[in-house]
Amino acid sequence: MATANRIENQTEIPALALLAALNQLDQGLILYDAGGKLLHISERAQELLEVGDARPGEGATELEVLLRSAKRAGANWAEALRYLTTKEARQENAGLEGGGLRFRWKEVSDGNRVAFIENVSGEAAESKSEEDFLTGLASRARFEAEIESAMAGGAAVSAMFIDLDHFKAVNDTLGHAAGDMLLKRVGQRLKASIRTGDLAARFGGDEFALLIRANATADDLTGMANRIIEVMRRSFLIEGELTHVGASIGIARMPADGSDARELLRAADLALYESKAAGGGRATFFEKTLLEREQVRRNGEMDVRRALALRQFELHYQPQLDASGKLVCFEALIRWRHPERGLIPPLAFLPIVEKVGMMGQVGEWVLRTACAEAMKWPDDICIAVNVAPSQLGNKQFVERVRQILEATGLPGCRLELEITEESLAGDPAAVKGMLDELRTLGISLAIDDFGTGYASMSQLAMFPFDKIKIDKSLAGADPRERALVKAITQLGDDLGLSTLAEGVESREQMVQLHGDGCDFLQGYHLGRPMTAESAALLVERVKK
Amino acid sequence: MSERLHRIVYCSKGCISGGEEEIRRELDRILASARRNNSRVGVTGALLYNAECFAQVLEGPQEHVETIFETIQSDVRHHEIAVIESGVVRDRLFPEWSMAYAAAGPGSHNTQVTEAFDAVFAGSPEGTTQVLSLLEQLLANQA
Ligand SMILES: Cc1cc2nc3c(=O)[nH]c(=O)nc-3n(C[C@H](O)[C@H](O)[C@H](O)COP(=O)(O)O)c2cc1C
Repeated sequence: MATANRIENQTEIPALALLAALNQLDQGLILYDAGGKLLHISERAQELLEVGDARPGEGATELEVLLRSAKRAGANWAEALRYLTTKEARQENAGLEGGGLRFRWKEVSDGNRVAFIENVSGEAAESKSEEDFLTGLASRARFEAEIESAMAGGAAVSAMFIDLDHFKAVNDTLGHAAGDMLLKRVGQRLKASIRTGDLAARFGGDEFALLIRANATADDLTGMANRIIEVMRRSFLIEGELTHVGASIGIARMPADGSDARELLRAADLALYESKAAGGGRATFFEKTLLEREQVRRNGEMDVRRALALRQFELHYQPQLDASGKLVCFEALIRWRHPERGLIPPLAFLPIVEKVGMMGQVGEWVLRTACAEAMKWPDDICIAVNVAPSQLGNKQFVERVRQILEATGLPGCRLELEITEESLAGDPAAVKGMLDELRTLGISLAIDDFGTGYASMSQLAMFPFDKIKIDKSLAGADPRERALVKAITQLGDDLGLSTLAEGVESREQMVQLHGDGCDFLQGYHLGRPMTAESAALLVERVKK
Repeated sequence: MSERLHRIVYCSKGCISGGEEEIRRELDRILASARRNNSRVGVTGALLYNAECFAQVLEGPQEHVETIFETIQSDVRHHEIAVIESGVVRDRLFPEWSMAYAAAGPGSHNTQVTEAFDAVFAGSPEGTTQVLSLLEQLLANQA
């Protein structure tokens, strides 16, 4: 259909001379079909959006992809556009604004559309959209204006930033239309849980904000935040599927935390970051110390680069035993030996590494170091290495792994890669392709932290795993945890996957998890993470 | 065209303060909303109130069950909503009720029901069947 459409239109699309003339216009122009396939982008449009040289047929076939890559418009626009192409919005004939640009569109023929992009950065602020197109809540522009005017009236306002937890997973599994529906309902729930006089806004994506005008005490705010968290935790029924998200909140108060809208929002944003970093589903008040922490984060990239260069990262190795108690594998775990702060565990710095976009480099260092170390051990001991979601997002990943195996001489069959459920959330076909390729190198694949995420059991059958690593949160004596572990080991048996229990901290747990059918065990009771030297000694000892 | 029926069943804890009178009035209000709104869109079901807990069955065209469920989800008169069943069904359980109501009266307890609720909130799968069969039983007795 789409190709037919395109060929047909080719004859209707004006000749080159006309296109060149269009490029002289002050407005940018994008021609696309009902499916969002790009038919033409004028040079002026590219210039205005700052997309560089994305052209039809060069991967940027989707309007959405194009807008996402546009520096000036950003992801909000892609989302807005998606909404604009739905039937519901078609009647509204809405325009969009952001980044100093205005975007309007018209249907031309056969569902094909033409979009006009204009520069409006010079225009007055009043022209900014007051309302969020999807939820009907206030827009960011209106929100900021309301803060300013409340302040001008001398009111002691507070602001909350609200961000959904696991929203991406919903979008990825149920699709964008369901994601949009979810956002709408979140907007409704938010509106229902605030008092009259307060203002709810959506800033884009899954970011919401509240302006609390009345003089609210810390207790009032805590109460409100907890209520919102509780309400967002309730099930959503969307397209017949029960869906769950959560909410993280950051709270900032005027005048203590900021003296204008920008400062207040920044403070709320920093507080939100803390809530997220602590695992989500909670609210945090802004404190001055958060500013310092942000500074630390900002310095993060420098620190990470320096750490790599100065060899401040090191690997520790934790034994994995089979049911007979035999050492079969070590899991490589990264530590940062910081000159001032001492030994830093991975959870405390990997988010920074991820944030500054250096996970690929750090991940490669880990893989290379671990493989080289494993070469010093007997052939029957394997090495397990964690792979971060962003590493799997890199198309070069498999090739890099292959090179590292070649360089270190480690046979692929001695390497196991541990992959979290989160990594599978992206583009399932692409991830599966990559995992299949890794397996052709002889590498075995384990799904990590199983039982904590939101992934469904069906993913086990969908992706080529060899092993399930059952999360340590299921290692307790609680009968419900036991039932889950048994179900997982049974599932493993049925699918031909082995199972490993993490978090074995006592003899009782060892006996119990073994009894529940786990093939392999790992945990403090069986061996703590140890330095390379200690691991080598342990290997020597068990060999005898 | 035959419609796709969706059924959702949940239990929740009531947050209605006040004495018996207030509770009764609030329940009447809920039922009035339910009957008015549900009958308009072909949604049927039943509501049970016992020892400050609700159990509710909503069934009907998926789209409408979804919107009504969403409204109920943002209602502050209850919390700790535990969905115990949700999915496509062939037949309705309560075809002739826009919202049947089953209760011995606010404040009063039916120990069997209370135990079934406890089981649901504790996450036991048996609680689900118990609540449903008690609901049907109570309604049958009332009729
Ligand atoms: C336990 C419980 C069950 C409810 N069931 C329904 C229902 O089945 N249908 C409905 O429209 N509203 C129901 N409501 C009320 C809604 O949450 C909401 O208040 C009502 O739909 C508002 O509509 P109205 O303005 O027409 O009264 C229920 C509320 C509670 C607390």
